Amino acid sequence: MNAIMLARMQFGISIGFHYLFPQITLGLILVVLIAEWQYVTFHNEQWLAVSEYLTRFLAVVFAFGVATGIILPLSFGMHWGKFSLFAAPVFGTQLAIEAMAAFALEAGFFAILAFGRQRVSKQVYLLSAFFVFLGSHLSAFFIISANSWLETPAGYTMSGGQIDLQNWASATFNPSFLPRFFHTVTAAWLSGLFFVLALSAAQLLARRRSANARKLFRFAAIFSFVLALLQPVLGHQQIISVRANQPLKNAAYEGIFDTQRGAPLIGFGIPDEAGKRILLPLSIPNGLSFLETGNTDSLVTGMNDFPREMWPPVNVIFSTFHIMVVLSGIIVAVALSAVFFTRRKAKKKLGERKIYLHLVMACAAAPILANELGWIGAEIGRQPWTIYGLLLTKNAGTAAQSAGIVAFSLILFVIVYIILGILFRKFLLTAFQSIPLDQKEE
Amino acid sequence: MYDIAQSVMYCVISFSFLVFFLLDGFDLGIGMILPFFPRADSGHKRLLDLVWPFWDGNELWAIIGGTLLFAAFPSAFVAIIGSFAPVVTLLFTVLMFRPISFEAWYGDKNNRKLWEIVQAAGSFLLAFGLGFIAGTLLEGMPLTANGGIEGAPFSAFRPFAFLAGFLSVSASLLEGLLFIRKKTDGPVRRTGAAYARILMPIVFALSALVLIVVLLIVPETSSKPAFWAALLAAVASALFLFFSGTKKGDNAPFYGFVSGTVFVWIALTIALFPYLLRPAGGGQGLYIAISASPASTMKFLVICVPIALTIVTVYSVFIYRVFRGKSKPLEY
Repeated sequence: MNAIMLARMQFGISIGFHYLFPQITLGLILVVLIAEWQYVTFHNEQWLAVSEYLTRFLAVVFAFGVATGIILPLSFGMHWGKFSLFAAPVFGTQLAIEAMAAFALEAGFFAILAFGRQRVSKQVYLLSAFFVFLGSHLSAFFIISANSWLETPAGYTMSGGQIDLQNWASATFNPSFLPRFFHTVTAAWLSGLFFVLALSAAQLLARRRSANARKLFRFAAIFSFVLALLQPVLGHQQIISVRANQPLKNAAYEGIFDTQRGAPLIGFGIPDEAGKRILLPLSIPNGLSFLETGNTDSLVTGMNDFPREMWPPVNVIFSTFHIMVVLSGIIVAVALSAVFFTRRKAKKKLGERKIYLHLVMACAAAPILANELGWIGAEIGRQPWTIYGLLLTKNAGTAAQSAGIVAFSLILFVIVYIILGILFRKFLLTAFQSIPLDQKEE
Repeated sequence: MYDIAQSVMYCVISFSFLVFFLLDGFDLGIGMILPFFPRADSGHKRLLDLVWPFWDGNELWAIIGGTLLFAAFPSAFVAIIGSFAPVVTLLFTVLMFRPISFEAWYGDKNNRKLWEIVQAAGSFLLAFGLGFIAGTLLEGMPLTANGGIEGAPFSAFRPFAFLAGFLSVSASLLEGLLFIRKKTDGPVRRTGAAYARILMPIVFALSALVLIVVLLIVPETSSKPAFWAALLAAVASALFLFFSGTKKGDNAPFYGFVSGTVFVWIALTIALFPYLLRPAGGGQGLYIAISASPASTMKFLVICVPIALTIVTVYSVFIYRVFRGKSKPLEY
């Protein structure tokens, strides 16, 4: 295997593992902020208990996010030398701004959020929670912007074989950024809310009459149901943007080989890249044309319009995209059922539905998995480019770096990630066992 | 304009790493002393209570410095990080366990010794690595045709880099001990203060040795008046630190140390300027004019970065003030 392929694996695994944590962080801090706001405004002690409880888990998730995230900017310098030299003026600038404007805010005020409740007033504490919320979301803002810039570069000029940042605002708000930002943050909120849903389900399994757990479960259920309904709309916006900016990627997502009017919406199938067709397709005629433009007879550009060597691996893109769509259906179903089982008449019995609660806990992984698959599809869908239209991945690596050096960091990190994964589970269990969500049972 | 922007960004990056060294210095020092500190009087918990809320906000400054280097001087970033990839990998493998070891220490009472060793090892490697890299940049290394560093990482294993590494380790240790003295009371404070007095002469000697070697390997430094001014201020700070160490007040020695570190750092930055990596073996080294990003990027950075860092500094001071005075036990 060559150094580039190994470097891609190293970076993909590192960022994929890292991405597990910030997405939960974004959702959890949202719930903590709401709970804290409810407590400060309406003096509701129940929300105080919820906030204190979730902050403890947030601390664990946050620590893992930081631990796994610090290595990422260095990975560019280690194994992606030519990319770094070429794109630093935009990409490095965005990472630096992320560190200064976002991570600094988040990490700084996290000290007060996690350890300072006794040292500040309620209002300052609420403000600190808000700053952690703001910091983590600004962080998502700049990272997704930098990532979107790789898909749709803008706001730059060329200067001696290197990018020069011409207009920061156009580089930041590059054409694909906003749809991707809203889609990704909503997805992250769903991950956090399902984490909360699973946590309160676990609480109910341990103490079936816990009033706070029921309250939290209901809150997460309603909130995630609303977001789960909103998400397909935002996902649709994203596809419209991909269609406009990267028609080849759009065709790979949807499995369209021939450019055609009235293109079908393929719900299931196995792409046969060599034969340039979809095997066993299950499709709605004219569906894709209608979805993308509102006109059943509109034109959809197919992959055959582009040279074969510029195609991304169609199988991967098509399957990750379609599994993500299936998962979004599961997410809607789980959220709907959770709303149903916490309606006023059924609420008291929630703690006795043991099988259902176990099922909810198992489904907590659905939004996280959907997030990871969406991201894999977006990144691999950009191939063979690292910066779409500007820099090919095969030309992005560090000059004269041997495959052995890359393999060394790949293997070492995989071992570390396995250990970290085990520890993460252990810490969540410790936190779960050591702190109660409510002192007294009804 | 362009050359001024380059120099400003050079100073801003040096400033970021200085703040990192000062803030994370006490984290690292406390981390390293942990296995050697008396277990009585719940000393270990008091020590970790000093670090846990702050380590991420402190480590942040290394990320700021690193990403600014990436943005403003990409070829230096790539040459240094790329050529030392195996070392960076090892360093960060250990570093990934640092945040985890706090969580583990507080949560897992059966394996506390193990997590203290993880803390100590991570802290030692980070402190040593920082000094080692600074020493290497000062001593200089030859470059390869495709922008890497000749023979790295093993050709960098030279006496001066080790000397600088040990200075960084001992200075962090001293800062940690002075911070313990500043923030705790009772027997924990007494132990910290006693250890600090033993370590102080070693830090002074290593600093003097490093500065003398710098004058030898970078001869043009001796003609820079600013270097001598910084040196003088550093010596004054050291004297202040030494004599305040015997008095009752617990804040003065800490601030004496901070002031001394700032001036030694400034002196070293002056010695290195305008290089990011000094030339060696007849090459031209990496200096700011050839490593800098294009003009429009530098213009943007030089306007927005100082503003951003000022804001970060203001609220960081606020957060530290929330936790000011002798520390109270963390409830977790």
